[in-house]
Amino acid sequence: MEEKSLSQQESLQLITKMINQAKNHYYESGWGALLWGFTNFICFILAYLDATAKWFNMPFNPFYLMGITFILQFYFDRKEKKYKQAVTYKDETHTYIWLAFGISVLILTIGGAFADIGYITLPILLLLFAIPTFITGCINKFPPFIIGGIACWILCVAALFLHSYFTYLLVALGAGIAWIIPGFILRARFYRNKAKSKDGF
Amino acid sequence: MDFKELDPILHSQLRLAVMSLLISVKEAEFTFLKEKTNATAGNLSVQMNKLKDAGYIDIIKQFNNNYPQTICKINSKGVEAFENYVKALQSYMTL
Repeated sequence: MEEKSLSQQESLQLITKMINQAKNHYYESGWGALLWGFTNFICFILAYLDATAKWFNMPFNPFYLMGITFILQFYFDRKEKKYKQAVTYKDETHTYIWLAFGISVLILTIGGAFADIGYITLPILLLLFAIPTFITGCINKFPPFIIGGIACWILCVAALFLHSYFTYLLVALGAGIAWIIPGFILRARFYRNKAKSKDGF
Repeated sequence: MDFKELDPILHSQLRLAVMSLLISVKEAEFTFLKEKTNATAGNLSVQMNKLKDAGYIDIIKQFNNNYPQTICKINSKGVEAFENYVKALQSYMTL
């Protein structure tokens, strides 16, 4: 692009083109969805087995594994920051939505653990899973997240009627549909875009 | 008919492209602007300095993992100038 004077029409076209380019800039490698999807999936399966299977005994609370995920997230966040060339207003919105979600989940799970109400909090947890996932899907026009959010709402209704440890499996399923599947799709898209940009696309 | 004068700082292809990109994001790296505008680093750098001297953008130079990094942001004066420029353009277009 050279430094040249423009007609009014050209100026408006250039503004529109650049705003669209910036608006469509979406850097998402999918690692976050995969990391938290698998962590939740594994933790809830282990919690179910721990609560129901006599042959299975966890030496510690399976949800302590989430601590490792927090450390991994911190590491990957730092790594990703290097490659993120721009911070969009959409990125900022995502950060606040997921931060609010994280705080809500912490309050619910820690509060639930202290009140010793076990699986009774799980339908609310599914409801919380659905909200940021659905919003993220809508903002980025990414159907797998929208479907994941809707699936969590349906699973929440099912969980409300299930008064058993089987609810743990519903949450694991929710994590799988809402985050693991979209995470793999995002990952594939990320590698595809990376290959394209290497070709000078 | 009252014609609004077009800001000469913004009425240039590369500077207008940079401002249009920066108004759409919170902040961007120099490499992002270079990639989106297809400009050479030298030319882009010169035009960015003109925008900075006009007080429209802020440029922050820092190090990220031992690599130099240039972060660019549009400031409130830049937003106002951009809005005025678009309004002026619209006044010409409605003729």
